Amino acid sequence: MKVLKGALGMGRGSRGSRDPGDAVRGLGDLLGDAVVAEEAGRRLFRGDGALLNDEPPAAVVLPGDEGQLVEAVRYCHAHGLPMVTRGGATSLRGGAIGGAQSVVIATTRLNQIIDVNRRDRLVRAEAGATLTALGAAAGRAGLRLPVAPKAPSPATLGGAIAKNTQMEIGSLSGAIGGIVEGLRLVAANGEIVEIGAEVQACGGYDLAGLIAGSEGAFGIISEATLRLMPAAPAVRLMIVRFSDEDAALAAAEALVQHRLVRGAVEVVGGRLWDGQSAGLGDWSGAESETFVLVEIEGFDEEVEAAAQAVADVMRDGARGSIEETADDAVRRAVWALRETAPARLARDGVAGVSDIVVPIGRIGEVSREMRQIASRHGLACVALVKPARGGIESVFVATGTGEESSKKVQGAIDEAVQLAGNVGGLAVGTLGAGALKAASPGYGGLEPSAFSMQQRVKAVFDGEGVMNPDKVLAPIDD
Amino acid sequence: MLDTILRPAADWELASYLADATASGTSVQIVGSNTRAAYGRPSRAAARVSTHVMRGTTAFDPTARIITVQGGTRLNDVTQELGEAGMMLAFEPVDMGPIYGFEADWMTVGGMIAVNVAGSRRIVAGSAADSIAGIKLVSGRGEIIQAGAATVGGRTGFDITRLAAGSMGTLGVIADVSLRVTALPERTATLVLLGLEGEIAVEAMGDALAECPGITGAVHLDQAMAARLANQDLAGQGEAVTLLRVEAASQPGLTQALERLYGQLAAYGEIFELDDDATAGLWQGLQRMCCIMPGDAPVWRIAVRPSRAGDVVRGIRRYMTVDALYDWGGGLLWLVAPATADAGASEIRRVTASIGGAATLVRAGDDVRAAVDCFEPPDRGAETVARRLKAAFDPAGILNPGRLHREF
Repeated sequence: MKVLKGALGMGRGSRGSRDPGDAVRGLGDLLGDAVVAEEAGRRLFRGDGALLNDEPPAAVVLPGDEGQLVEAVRYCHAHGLPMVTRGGATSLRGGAIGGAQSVVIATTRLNQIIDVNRRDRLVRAEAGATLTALGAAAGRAGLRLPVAPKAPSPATLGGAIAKNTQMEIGSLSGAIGGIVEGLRLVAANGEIVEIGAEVQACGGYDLAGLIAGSEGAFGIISEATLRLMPAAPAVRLMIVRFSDEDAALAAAEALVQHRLVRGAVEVVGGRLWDGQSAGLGDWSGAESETFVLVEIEGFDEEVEAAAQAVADVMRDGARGSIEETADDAVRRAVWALRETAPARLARDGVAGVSDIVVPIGRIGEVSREMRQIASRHGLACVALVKPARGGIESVFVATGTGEESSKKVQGAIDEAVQLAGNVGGLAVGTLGAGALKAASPGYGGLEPSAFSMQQRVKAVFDGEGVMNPDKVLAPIDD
Repeated sequence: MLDTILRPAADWELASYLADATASGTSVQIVGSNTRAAYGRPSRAAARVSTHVMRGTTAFDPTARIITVQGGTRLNDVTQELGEAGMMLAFEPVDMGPIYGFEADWMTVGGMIAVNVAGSRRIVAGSAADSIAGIKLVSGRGEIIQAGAATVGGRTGFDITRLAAGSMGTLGVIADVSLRVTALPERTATLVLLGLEGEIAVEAMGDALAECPGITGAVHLDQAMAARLANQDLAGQGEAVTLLRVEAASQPGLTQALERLYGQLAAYGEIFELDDDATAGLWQGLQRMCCIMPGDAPVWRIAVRPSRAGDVVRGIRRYMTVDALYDWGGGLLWLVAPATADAGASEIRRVTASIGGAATLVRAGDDVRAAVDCFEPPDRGAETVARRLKAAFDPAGILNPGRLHREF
């Protein structure tokens, strides 16, 4: 696991070395049990899915309701304490981690599901409710949450909106921002900004769309309302093995281009599977293989016809038999393995994930270039590709540990990000920007003009720079 | 009043005009094809900037499923180019031009984004904002801001591309935009129910939308609205009409979806079915707002929770006679109201304040639109943010002043 050192989440107001001790004690007086002040407790909030800060935050607040959240934010704002928002801490980029001067505000206890409305097809919940719990609640109402994780996850509603989690469900493709029908944001000064679904649909600035993806830079989401979908009548998962990554990518792209599948298509490098898949029987695999996971959904006969068409396209290049299942438990186990893989690799040694999107049709070429980048740095490269949206996650893994290996991994990530910009793509899609590499002009295709405007938009919500400082956007030098 | 009309041919020229306007404090009205001149609050600008010359497709790669066009490109040019490649805009842009007396599909892409249009397909595909991959926006300061990229997914930093959508040209002028596009559906059909009351129709549409994947349009027209449908078989029934459009990638998918719906809707009366061709014509008419006649009668657009749509219409009908069209399964009402001094604003806003909903005055005379709030006033926190965003993009307040908000 990579350990972060030095300034992190300092904020403009407190950049320097002011001891936050007195201010933190005042926070404890104000909010009592909702504040974790002792060091042992604070140390639990040092890390996320992949990174660990060397020091704990100055304090941790666990508000029990929106009122406490507002009080905490107002207090921190008034005392110049930088705030870092934390949901399920599934980030691999330090998005939920603060430095020694900062106050981590965790939404864990703000987890009520307020309403699931079948007639209006809406779910309204507090920000700390997990997507898994929301998905289950939608399921009990006979509906479906399009962003529900395929395997149980601590990821929260607020965190998913803050990162603008991508979704590929049925014919719907996009991000969670597209199904946010309303939200409440506690801005840096403690003021509540309420964005109603109905007002949002009637003109005016798309504030919900702006807040989705802001990674806590504007404020803390306290609750949100999402649009739900009808449940899929039938779902089938297929796994096809290839001995060659290029062949797997070409086959997966063909499925997407021919629109054979309503559902997800992913290409997964064998190393993400290896050693963890023994319990999956026919679904196990080896490091040397590349897998194409195809999840088809629709009505029974539609799924059957699509599965047949997928098999016809894939059979020639595939190695061994094509496995299929409609069993929910197997599907969950497979997706759990795949969804936890990047974090697992990152924890096991020195590894880093580059996360880019490129124009569809250039996936094969860019993936080959990724392997060359890895090779130049003496690293292994494990691919996780989502061809329907041009998403390429590359896990760069070093053989050794230590500072030298970390540098190699970071060098490879920087080159990958540059490559994205060169082919008309962008850095950062699903994992967030976080703290590991805040976006700066030219970073992964980010135009200086957009960067400058993003800085000004940040100032609209947070003029003092106390909300998730040094995250998402590179710090302003002043 | 408008003694100057500027027609920049390129983004740098547009930027130069706007920088000059900011320097001299000259307010400008931004127009594309000007089909929305009568939408929103009337312009009070001193000069006009037209994107008329900035037309054409910059790039279209069907494989990448992205089209990049200049802001002044007409919608019909885009839909034709996409159609030839078997593709379409996912959000089914509703075209309000005809209700103001313009030809259909005359609006520009920039205008379409500035209003953030959303058609019947919003229930599955969202609005125009959800299809924007990248945008080149020229701010009031004359900066050319390139945000996002021509990719289907992802971005770096937060999404300022979305701010252009719905901003009515008050933050910047759209020089070009990259839009995600989607394949035309393989198989379609429309199921029709006749003679349902509005509230019952919303219930039927809600049940169908909750139970059956593949429904991409759910519209109910009261008797007066239905009589204006181009489909004479339906228009001639003399009854309210409820429509459910079903789309699928294959025939087995369509057949099974229809089977499920027939079972589910049986309790609501006899079900009629329209085939592919009839479906295409019917929904194109709705997209072009064929049920609202050109003229002077005030038109309101009210976003509401579907479960409250019936109450809102009933509440308004206590004060006035309105023709009603329910889109988005009841989530959006289009109402044609009788002409009065305030176009019915005080009564309509009283009803939405007590029952729920956000009302936009879409059509009324200039004097009426100048006197009443055309758009639902945002809450205090959101208004503060809007005011500051306006200052970040357009500090001198030269872009379309007063079009969206009374004060800025």
